[in-house]
Amino acid sequence: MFETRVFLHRQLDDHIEVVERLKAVFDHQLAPYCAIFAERIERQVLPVLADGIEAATILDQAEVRLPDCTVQALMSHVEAALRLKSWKEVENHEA
Amino acid sequence: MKREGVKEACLQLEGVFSAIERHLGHLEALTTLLDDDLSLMQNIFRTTELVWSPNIHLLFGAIQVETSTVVEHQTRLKQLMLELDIRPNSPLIEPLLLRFSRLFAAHQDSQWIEQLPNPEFHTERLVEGMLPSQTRKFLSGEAQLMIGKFAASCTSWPLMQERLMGHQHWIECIMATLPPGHVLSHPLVLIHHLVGEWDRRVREQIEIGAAIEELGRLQRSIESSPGEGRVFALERLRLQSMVVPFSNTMGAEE
Repeated sequence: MFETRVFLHRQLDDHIEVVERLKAVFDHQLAPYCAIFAERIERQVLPVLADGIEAATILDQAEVRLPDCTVQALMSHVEAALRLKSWKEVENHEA
Repeated sequence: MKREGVKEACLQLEGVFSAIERHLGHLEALTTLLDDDLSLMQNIFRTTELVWSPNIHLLFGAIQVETSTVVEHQTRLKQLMLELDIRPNSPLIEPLLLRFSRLFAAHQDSQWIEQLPNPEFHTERLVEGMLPSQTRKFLSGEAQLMIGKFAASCTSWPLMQERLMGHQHWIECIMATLPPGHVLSHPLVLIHHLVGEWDRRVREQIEIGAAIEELGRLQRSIESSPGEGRVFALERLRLQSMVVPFSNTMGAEE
């Protein structure tokens, strides 16, 4: 679970970097599209990754046995985060 | 000489029967304590899903049957001893001796097995009204200590779990020493299964309580979380909805 957490942190950092890059576009033709794209990433991707990291942290650091339903719910957060494509994959796909 | 031998055997059997009657009393006391604990839990969980009363009644019934058989043996034994004393040539003596021949043989067997190096590896005769020597050994020793320990009232889930572990222990100990087919075996198997299911529920409650505390501790220990504590809050709420508070107020609410 530690590796998963590191991977998700990297994913989160990559996406935050992309958002910053998108917000730094001032071309009057591209800027509105970049803003929409950045907003979508902020609203739909970053929370999933953040929740995945939080769930992985709980699973990794909990010192007592958690109930099965809690473990399943936390795993579903982690899986949802892992299902998101990494930014590099998106870039390669676009290319 | 023969009469003296018969009287001695009768006295031995008399001692055995009074001991078995006491042991069955201990078993009944343990069953009553289990009944109290299970009814307390049914009251707390407010569920009728795990029906315990028919199984407990079955066990009480089996204990009653065994006790009444022992009492009948005691009565007949007294009759035999009286006949031997007052009317040595009574026609009742032979039938009564026949009645007790199997019981005496079973007692002799048990005595012989008890002297062997590993008595638990030998099967004793299955005779109505007799308990195997290992069962009697447990009921006369450890079971009495357990009755004392069960006397304290239960005030929390961990205590209830310990009590259920204790109940499982005495049921397993008796089940392990009874031969298959004994009148007490079947109800004990059913009760054991039921206690296991209640034990699972109690463990679940303890686990939930510990998990809520652990989530709080983890959240405090993590300085900044990218999810702003959403998952922590969500899971804590989910767990809190599953908590069943322990309240030992049986009968007070009705």
